[in-house]
Amino acid sequence: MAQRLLVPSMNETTAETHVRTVLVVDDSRDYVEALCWLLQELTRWRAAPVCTIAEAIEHIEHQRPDAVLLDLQMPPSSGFHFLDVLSAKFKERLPAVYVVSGNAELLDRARGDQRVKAAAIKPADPESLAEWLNAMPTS
Amino acid sequence: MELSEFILANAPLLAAECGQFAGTLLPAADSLDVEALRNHTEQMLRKIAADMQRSGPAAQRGQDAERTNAEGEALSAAQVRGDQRAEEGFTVSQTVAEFRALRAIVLRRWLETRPSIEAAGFEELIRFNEGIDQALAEAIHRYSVAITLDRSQFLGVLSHEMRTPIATILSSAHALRLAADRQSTLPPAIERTQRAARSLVSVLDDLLDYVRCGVRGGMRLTPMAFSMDELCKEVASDMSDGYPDRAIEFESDGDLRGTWDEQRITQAVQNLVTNALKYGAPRTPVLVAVRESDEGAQVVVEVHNSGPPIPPRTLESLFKPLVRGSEDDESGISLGLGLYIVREIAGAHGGRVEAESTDAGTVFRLVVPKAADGIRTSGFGNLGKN
Repeated sequence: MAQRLLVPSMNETTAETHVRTVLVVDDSRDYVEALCWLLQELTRWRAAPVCTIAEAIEHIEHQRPDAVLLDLQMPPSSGFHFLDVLSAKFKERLPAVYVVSGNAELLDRARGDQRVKAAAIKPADPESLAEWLNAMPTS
Repeated sequence: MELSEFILANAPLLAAECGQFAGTLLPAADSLDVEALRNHTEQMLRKIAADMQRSGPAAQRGQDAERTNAEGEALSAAQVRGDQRAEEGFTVSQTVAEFRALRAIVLRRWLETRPSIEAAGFEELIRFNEGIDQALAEAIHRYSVAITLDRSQFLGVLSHEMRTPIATILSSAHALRLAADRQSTLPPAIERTQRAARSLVSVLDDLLDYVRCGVRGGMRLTPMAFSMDELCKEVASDMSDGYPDRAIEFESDGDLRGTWDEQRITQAVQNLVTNALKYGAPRTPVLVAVRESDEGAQVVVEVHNSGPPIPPRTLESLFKPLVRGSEDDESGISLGLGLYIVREIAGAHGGRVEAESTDAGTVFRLVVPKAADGIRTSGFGNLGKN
């Protein structure tokens, strides 16, 4: 049974007809929790935290996120594998993907991948990530 | 018999004798078998002999490639030797010493077959020395390229391992500031910051161990008497608290008392369990099993995890520092120093660590003698303490 992540639910006052969701994928539980908490404070998005690629794949089985913040080095799998699964599932309705990784080599590879909208080296500025989400047009 | 003919006729024997010398170059040679010690020596000798039979300066003679590397570059036997010795942990002096020994072995054996050297023989000697020097230059060039690559990779690993905890600290500090500004409920950011800072300290501890192992002739221990099953049970219990969604099971059998460095054995078992939790199949248990072996002379700590088998080539490189499992692997397997440090701890106890991976899962086995005879001590041991 997966441990529940410590991210508060959305403030009632931010409710819209459709609250957009960003899936935050990183194998550091502490980082995922801290980032999701911040993104929910700084944006009108709901942040869904997951700490393994298996959990991320399970998440998209049930719902389509509007955006994904994705770590790449996620043993025993990898962020690129999740990107393959995500693009196979949603095809032309692929959610916007922002890669955040501490591995410069993999980040360069992600920057050359057309499925990736943006990429930043860790520690990415949470305000920049929030700005990117806030600037995203509603579909 | 001319020198080049002598070399071609006796290449396997000469390579074997040089391999025996390489076996004395410790500690790197400790982990290599006979085949690895003499690897490529015979090919180098054959190339030198073939070049001696051709005309022209040594550097312009045959460029017979022994192997092609990952970048498609053709490498001679001497270049492959330089690459390998860097990867195997030989120092540059040891790598040079092998060529010095090879030169001496060949010439001594050749001179034993003839009473005197005439003018043509001196000419052959010069050509042989040119060939050895050319091979040495090629090997040392590749050695230095490999060391530079290692250093770059090392800095890349260090940078990567520090970035996530730093990101956690910065995000948590940001959250604390926001919470204070808005006078809202304090998020659990203080605990996260502490954990991330501890994680950074752990990276730096590993780094310090890595540096010490490399420059001080290996890890030094402070041995004391204790029971391995109690230590492992405590490690399993402590680590369970940090991974509430994973079960860490424990079992033990036999008399498991012995003399070891308690802090280092704790570190080794923690590293093995962390590795099993990180790379094992998600949501499956990790088993820590402790038992006697070698008729009670040794204790074996096994850490087992489920998951797909590790390819044999990756398995071989798991205990090397900062060596990537495979060029295509983006998951991060075998980056870091955890298993390398386990190997150093095992070696300093006069023991070993091994890994086995099948469809049934992966098991890491730490084997250490109960007695303190083989322990590399710091001189501050406390053998009597219980």
